[in-house]
Amino acid sequence: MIGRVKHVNYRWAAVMFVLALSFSGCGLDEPGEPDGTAGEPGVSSGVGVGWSSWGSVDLETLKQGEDVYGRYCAGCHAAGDGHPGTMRLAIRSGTGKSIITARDDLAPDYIKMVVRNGLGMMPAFRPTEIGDGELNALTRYIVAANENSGGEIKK
Amino acid sequence: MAVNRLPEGVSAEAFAAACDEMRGAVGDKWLIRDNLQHLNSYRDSYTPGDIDSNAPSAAVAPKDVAEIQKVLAVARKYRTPLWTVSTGRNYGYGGAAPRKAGCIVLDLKRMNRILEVNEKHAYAVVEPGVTYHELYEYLQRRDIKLWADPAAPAWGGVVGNTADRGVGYTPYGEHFTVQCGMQVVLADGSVVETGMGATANASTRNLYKYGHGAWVDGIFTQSNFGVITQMGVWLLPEPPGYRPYMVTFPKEDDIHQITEVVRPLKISMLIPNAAVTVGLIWEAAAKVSKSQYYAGSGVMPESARRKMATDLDIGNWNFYGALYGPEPIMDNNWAIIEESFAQVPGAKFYFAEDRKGDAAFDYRAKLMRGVPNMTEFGLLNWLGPGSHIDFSPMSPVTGDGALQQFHFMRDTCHEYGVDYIGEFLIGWRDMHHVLMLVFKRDDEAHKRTIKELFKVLVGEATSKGYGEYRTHLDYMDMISGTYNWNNSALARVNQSLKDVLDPNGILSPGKSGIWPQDDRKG
Repeated sequence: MIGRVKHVNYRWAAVMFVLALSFSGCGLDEPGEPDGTAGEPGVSSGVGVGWSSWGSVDLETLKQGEDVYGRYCAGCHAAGDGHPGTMRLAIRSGTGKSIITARDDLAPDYIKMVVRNGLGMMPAFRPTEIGDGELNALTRYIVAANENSGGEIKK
Repeated sequence: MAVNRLPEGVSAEAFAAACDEMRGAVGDKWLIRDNLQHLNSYRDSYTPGDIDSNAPSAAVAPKDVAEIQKVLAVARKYRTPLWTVSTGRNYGYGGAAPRKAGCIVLDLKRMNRILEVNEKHAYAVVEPGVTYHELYEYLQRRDIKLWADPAAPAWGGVVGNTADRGVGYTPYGEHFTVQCGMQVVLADGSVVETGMGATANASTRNLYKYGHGAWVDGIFTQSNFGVITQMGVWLLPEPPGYRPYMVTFPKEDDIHQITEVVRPLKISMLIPNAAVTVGLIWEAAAKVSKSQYYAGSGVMPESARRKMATDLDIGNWNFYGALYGPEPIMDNNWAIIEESFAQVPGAKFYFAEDRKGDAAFDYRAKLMRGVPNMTEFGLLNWLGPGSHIDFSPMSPVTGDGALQQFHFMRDTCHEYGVDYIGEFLIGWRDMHHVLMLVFKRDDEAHKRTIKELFKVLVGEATSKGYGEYRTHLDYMDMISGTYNWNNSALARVNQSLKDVLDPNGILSPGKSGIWPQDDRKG
């Protein structure tokens, strides 16, 4: 029988992230402005650095981010063969940095910059495709996935 | 706020007023001008030419027909030309960027409703912003057993791809053939339903294409005579069985015999889908990049090509097709297909179980059953972070035609130090011979080579009687100029239509070489 496209389930990672925030007493504040970045443009200087003042994130935002990721990013950036973005990043930066949901060096501003401007073979995404609110949610989703060491590779 | 750019012949004051009025029509957020990061996302970053030569002055994104009509009224008033895009993902052909710098992009991505999916009659009616991925997801979520035929990259739009006469890989791969019913807003703001949609209480709008009298749907494709706001597309009922297959062939000149074998199988529909004969590098590039086999500059040497073919277990040509239907029908058809291809010495046959873990086979198998994906985009990895334009002459389904095209395109590419990356996409009685000219986005010298090569290819193809089916913004005038029989009679028909339907020249000036009167004077 003809099956569906396989969807990688990130949801558990997002839920775990929110639970972690809840237990550590974080509220569901409105997000502040993303932190600036250190070192080379758009890349944070280390794991967990710079996210603390970015506020916490609610499940709804993560779900929205996951939806945007599924619609616009996963086709190129999911794990496994046949994903051009993952293939490109593996060539450029090694397999350890080839999956954008399983990295430790993607700062929110950098993600936004790449989505809006494109990078290398990746073209830019217009505000009619990914609105600023959706881009925020996407960024939060990717950061959450990163902080959970990437739902995909743990799966 | 300083204006980034102006449409040609429009004063800063008029442009500002036009933007203000369009903003009033669509809301603050959807007139994009001052936020340069947003505006720049409309440029064609894939162009081999000067990115500024296709840069828009602004973008406007209406949500419905009423807002489009308001935007058109403003454009008429101030003579500000618009450039219509649907999902804006027409990369290789210009993306969301206009032919002429300074146009305001009329971005229809927000009109993204799937208006109807009719399971009984197997069709969908969609707005221009709907991508193949979105239509696929819609059908999957509702467990509707119908297939939409996607373009190779999933982010392509149903309406835009069909209107640009794009192709896919299922039995419904000829997209405009399976279009039925269209709603169009003309430059004067009037709304037209074509075909049966023009009747009162239309009951067959999306079932019978032609209605009565002149059938006009075609003039709204690859053109600038109106803004398509709805389109009906037929969907393929999911067959009870599906078996994708691949046949590899060892020699380059096998393309002659392969094509002779394919023609009767396609015309008789024993091969029902839009099948492809894929060249070595195209097939390989979904999995590997050039530097893994050849670190030098210029064309990949034969020894490296051979090693790559051996490693990947692929041929110099690789034919993909699929069997559809109940098991006995598939078995019966396969016996004929296998026997036919086996006439080519060295032909090897593969089914899905033989190519497990093969990303190239996998994405072809998905496309031939209507599952959109992005794998083919990986061809841009061939040289590094790449970009592409395509040179796509039509060919008859004959060995002589295919071999002649392949030889002159390969040899010309090699003269310029460029790899031949090509495939033949086989319709009923034609082949789209797509040559993907991949280049490095950050290498100006390489871009110049590609541009020169492209012009030479057009000249050679024209002299041999081959015309292109579709092209990038920068080559629209060049290609339309090759359709010049009888003192360019066809171009004059298009110009006449343009002048009548869009006398102010506000819609997509220069699309497919069709220019408004004022632009023709220069």
